[in-house]
Amino acid sequence: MNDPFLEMRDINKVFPGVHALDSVSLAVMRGEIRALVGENGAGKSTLIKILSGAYRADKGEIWLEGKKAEITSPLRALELGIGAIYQEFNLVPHLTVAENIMLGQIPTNWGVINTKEVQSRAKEVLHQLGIELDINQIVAKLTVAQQQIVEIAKALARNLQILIMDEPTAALNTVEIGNLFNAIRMLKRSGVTVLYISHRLAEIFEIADSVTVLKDGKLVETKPIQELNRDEVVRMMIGRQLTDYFPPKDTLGETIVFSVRKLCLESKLFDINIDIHSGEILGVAGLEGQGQSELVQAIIGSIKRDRGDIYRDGELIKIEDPADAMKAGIGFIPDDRKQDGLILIRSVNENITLPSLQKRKTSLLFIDFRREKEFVSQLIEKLAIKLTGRFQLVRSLSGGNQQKVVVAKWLGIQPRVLVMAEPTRGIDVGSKSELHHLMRELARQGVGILMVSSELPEILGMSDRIIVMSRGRIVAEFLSEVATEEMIMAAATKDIVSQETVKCE
Amino acid sequence: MSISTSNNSRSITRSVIKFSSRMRPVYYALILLCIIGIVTQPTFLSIRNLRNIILSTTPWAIATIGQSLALLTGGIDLSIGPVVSLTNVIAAFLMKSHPEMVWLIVLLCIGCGLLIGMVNGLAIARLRLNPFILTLATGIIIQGMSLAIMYQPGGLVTPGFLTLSRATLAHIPYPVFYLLILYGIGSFILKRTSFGLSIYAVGGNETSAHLSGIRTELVITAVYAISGFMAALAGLFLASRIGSGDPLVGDPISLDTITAAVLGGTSLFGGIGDLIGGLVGAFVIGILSTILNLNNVSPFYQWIVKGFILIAALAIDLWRQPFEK
Repeated sequence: MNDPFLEMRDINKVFPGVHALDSVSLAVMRGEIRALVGENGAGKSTLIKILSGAYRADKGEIWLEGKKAEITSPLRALELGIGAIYQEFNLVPHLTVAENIMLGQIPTNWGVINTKEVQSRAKEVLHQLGIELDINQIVAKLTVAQQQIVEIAKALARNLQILIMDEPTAALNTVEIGNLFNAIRMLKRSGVTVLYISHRLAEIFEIADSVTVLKDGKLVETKPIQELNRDEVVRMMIGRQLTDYFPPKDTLGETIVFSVRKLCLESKLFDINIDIHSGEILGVAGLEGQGQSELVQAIIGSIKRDRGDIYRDGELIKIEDPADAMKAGIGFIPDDRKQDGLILIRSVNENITLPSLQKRKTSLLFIDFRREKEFVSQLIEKLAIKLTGRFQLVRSLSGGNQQKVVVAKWLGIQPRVLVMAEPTRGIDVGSKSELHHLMRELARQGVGILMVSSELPEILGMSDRIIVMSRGRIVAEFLSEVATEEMIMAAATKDIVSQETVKCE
Repeated sequence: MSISTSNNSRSITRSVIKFSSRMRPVYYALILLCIIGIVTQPTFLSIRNLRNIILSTTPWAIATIGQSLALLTGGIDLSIGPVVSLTNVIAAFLMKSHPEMVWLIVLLCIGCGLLIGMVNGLAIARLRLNPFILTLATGIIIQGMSLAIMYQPGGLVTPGFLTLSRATLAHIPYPVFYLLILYGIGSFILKRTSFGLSIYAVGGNETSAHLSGIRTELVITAVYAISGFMAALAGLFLASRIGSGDPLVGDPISLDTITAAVLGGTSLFGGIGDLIGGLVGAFVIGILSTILNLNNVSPFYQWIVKGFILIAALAIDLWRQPFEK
């Protein structure tokens, strides 16, 4: 009885540039509810994707009931009784609720679907969850919360031994969360083992038996829930010293260079108001996927706002498209530089000149190459981009130098405002520090900077002021002198009970 | 549960609404074309003309089944036309020298279609090749093979083989039964079996289907194999109807099947659509060609018209997307 039901031993997984999991081991008993916690990028999702067959481990073994299990595919995992609810929705949009719930295990007679049984079993599962939902509705027409429920029902419909849940409550309201927890407790009583990932610590203390903390791909500790309190968990999740060196901060200007008023985006952003002073770096913190990326996209016009005004130097500006933002002197450094920030297969020269081509035209329509050379060389020198020549392909640069190219590109338009998403994600320490100094220097010259970052040390070290986002809202604001990692994490993980009552009119 | 009955009746009315909204453009087109046909040509409703429409539409109506399935998985099959040509040519070529081996030759042709479809499917499912380019390439290879076998129309089919397309039962031409049987079985499989549901699932969200334990590679391979099979049937039907072989007979069929399927409401993005829409779409094209022929419009203009229809169908498909969400 004291043998663990599930054991993962020495699991290793390396992605290009990241050691996502470094010899992680854990053992879970039958019927145990184990919470997995950790900061963004700690390796929780990778770990459960290995368990559910979506990824394969580079090294390591998985044992079930004392027998070694080879989990080669999602299908194999399901055969072994392991099922998962992933963070991103995995529903087929144009099938019905019932079909989605039963997908992969549709009851048939000689290949012919037993529609009655599909419907009755889907109904049964929804009933277990205490939820009313039209099972013949097409999933594409459901709300996000309803889709989440279908996702959960789909997992319950399989007679699983191990149920993995990755942030299952992200889109649910309090009542729905209560129903979900009842269903989980019921599963526990029938001997199902649950791995539960959540950022919301209150939930973990309500439902879990034990907690495993991961950090930077390594196991920190596993403890029974009774031996822990909230602060200890937060400390284990953060568990690092502020060793990074950040440039000294400066006094802020008086004028407001950039404002956002009453910005709304359906079910993503609710009444966002932001002011940035000249020379200020405003840090946007929060757990991943709380509306930060929607916020920057709405500001620069790559997604359409439902409402909300944007002002630059006190003047209302119309931004319908990234080109409008550029004209207004707003530069955008996206979090995914390879996808959104650069044209990898073209040269450094071309990438840097792209947003500001208009500025270096001859009287005809041609590009003035002499001016271009001067312009690019200056920027390369200013940012200390290491390369063999300005015609080197961006693809062949290191991450840090690639990011400098992205920044150089926007310096070319002489921005008044820079919107930066994860400006130093995945780059080496040296380039990181150089970029931080550059950001501070730009601020000193009067540029207002909005910096979204999921790295708390960066938020604290770089920002003059910090706002925290959760579920599409600004839930806290701190001056950086008084803010601590604990304060930010506490604000970011606090549950908002009355979320449904806030409407975006 | 009392709710369930009201849910059911609601879902029935909803599916009726859905049915009518999905089918509307193509049914309108069919009705409109019939009216134009009747008004411009008094002979349009003659038995001979109706029989003609059915005979000429049947080959690509058959091939459209395969195309619809490929589109439903989110793919496309551009090798359908060339497979039609190849099987048509093989049948006419071999039946001329071995008229007694009809059934063996038929089996050989069907085997060819299945094999080519399977190769396409494996390359798309396993090697993750782009279906558009891959089937375009295999199509060109197969077209070359047809021309190598027979560089100009020729060959001769066994006389008895002709009756397969030309005979009637109670005044109803055989092809009507072929279409009823093929579309009946096809629709049943698509709508009522787990394989059919898997096709929708793969086209709707392949990752999700895979994570739900569906063997997506198998589904995709099977779909292209079926597409090759249908193309072979279409090629054989053409051999029976014409009585000889033509290496370019299938040339327009790849595009015609796409037009028919998309007109009928099958989305090029996968996951949405059915077979019946494609059948109606095929008849829209068939009747349009007939009307243009009866009015002595040059085949060159017919190409132009067909091109515009395909663009219109694509526009409808794109335009419809946001409303489905």
